[in-house]
Amino acid sequence: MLLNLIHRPIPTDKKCVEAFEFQQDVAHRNGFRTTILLPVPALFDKATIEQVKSYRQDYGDEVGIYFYNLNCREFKEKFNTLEYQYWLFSQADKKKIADWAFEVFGENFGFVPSAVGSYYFDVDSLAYIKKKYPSVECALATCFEEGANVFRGTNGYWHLYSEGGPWWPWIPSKNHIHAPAMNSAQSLDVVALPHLVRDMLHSILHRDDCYASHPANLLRGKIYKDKGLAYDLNFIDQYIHQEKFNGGYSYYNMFVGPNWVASRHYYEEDVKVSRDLYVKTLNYLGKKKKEGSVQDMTMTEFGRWFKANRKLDDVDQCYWKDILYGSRRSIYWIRTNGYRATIDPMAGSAITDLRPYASQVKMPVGAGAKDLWNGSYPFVLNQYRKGGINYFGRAGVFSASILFKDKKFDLTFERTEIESLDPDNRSFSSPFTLETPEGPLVVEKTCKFSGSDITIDFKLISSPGKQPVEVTQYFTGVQGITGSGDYPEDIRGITMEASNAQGKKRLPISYTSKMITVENPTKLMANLPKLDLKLSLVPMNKCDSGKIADACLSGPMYQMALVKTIKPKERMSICLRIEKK
Amino acid sequence: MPKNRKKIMEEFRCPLCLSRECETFVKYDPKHKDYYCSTCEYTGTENDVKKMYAVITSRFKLLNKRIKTF
Repeated sequence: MLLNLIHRPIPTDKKCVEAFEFQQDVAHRNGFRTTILLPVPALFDKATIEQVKSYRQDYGDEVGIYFYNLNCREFKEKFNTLEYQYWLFSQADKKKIADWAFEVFGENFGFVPSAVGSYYFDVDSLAYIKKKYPSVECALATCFEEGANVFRGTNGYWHLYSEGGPWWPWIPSKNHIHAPAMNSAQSLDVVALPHLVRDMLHSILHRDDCYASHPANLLRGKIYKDKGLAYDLNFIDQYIHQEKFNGGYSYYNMFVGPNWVASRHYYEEDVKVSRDLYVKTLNYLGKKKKEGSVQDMTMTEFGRWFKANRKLDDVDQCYWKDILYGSRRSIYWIRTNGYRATIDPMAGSAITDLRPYASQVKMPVGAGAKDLWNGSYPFVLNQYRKGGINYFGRAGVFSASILFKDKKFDLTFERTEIESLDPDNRSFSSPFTLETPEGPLVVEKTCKFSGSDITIDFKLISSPGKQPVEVTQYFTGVQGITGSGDYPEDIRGITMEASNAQGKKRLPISYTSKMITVENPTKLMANLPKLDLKLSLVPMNKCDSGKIADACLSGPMYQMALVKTIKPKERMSICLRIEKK
Repeated sequence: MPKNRKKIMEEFRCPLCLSRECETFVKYDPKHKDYYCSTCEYTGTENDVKKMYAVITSRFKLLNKRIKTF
């Protein structure tokens, strides 16, 4: 597992100055080199500059710029504003701030840094920095799934909406920071890192800042008891375990501000407890380094490694098990350069969240931009925000139902497991045993993922009296941007089409609940003009019928469904295709 | 009131808000000698706050269990 250990000094607070030294000492004692990202106020503090220079010289630590905590006398004199989040400034101001920070950095260190960071970089800002300062190779670019849950949890204080992006490093496209570049022409040519790595189950169910590679945040979430550190160590081990699903590659970073180990900061325990957790975590990573399972790098070294070893069309996979609640729950994530999909075995291995990177939608943020503050990547499926499964209504999922005589099983309500996970083929299967009045019905679902396609295959293993079943695979589409609110988005403008050999039928969304059915469908399609996106359901073997259904106001989701009757040992196979319009 | 009471007050988060992952610091009411939350209905003594914290932590059944296989 590759590790980036990142620190930032806060020179304006004496306690933080000492805490930063403590963090650096713990890192060096464990044989780690760090990347020190200097916030703008630190660039004006001579003592910090000299200290960082000596860390660089003595330990080989890297130094870069951190575009956060901008507030200092020099900044106020120059920009005279209440705004303090870099990504929320106007594009013109972001350019001025970047130029100013790079200039001051250069005056102090005599070179241009190759590592930069921010809680969130909008793509235009990072593109500007890369163009003007081509030596920049690696950027701490976004937070993973940090949005609505954290915003609510902080009583509407933390204005960071960064959901729908990759959980591991990627090379962003020039269109949206969260969308991986699909080819070199699109590439921003900077390796983007997530700010921390997260618990991949709790990050979608809870506010994910408390479930991350940040020991002090465990205190914040009360995930700590009696000096125990089991969750933190299990968390590291499970990240190392991800190598199994990614051809031997796994990534981890830690970035804890000194304020978390300087004094109580959103936790009730003594600061000694927070320091103890920090030491124990780095000691454990240090032990893993000695054992050969962890390799630390500076950010720039990692950026170079990534470019040399990971191709633009490489896929990241994550199979994550609950290591905290004891729920036996797990979740599977896959990120291609065409989409990011979340598959939840608790919901019958339905696709419960889908971000269509293939659409490469542009959404600039900051003062004066159309989307102002929302830096998330939009979803087209989202069970967690749009119609949960434990609710009598539609949920935004890609799932299936099975009809045996007059008994219908919606598999979204059936708990299953992920079996036969084949990371090389990016596929797995999930078994279902459904109890009917005549005996058990056994069905196997297989999911396979590639560039911009998702293939779902159902096989009827056995049924009472070898009777046939009717399988309906349905895509209940939604549209939205997490963080824009939990209310549904107006999806008028989306149009659906159902095609067969006889022609094409069209259904624009207008909340009428109208449904159109065609026999022997060749394709069902939804056009989403707002996202410049086309979603198609294509039968891979012949289907009996296809349905497209308009939304209604109490179920503001459109639906496409393919239906096929299969006998034991027969299959129904369909493909979801995600394309730019 | 202990000398450091003010400091402690600022460092307790409302256990009821925290149980739904929201953070609000409780305030001390010297007249009734207990804490109150300005966001929700919570009112309780320091001991009660700590008991409710323990309830939050009790959700984490695997908190102190090292896991060997994933």
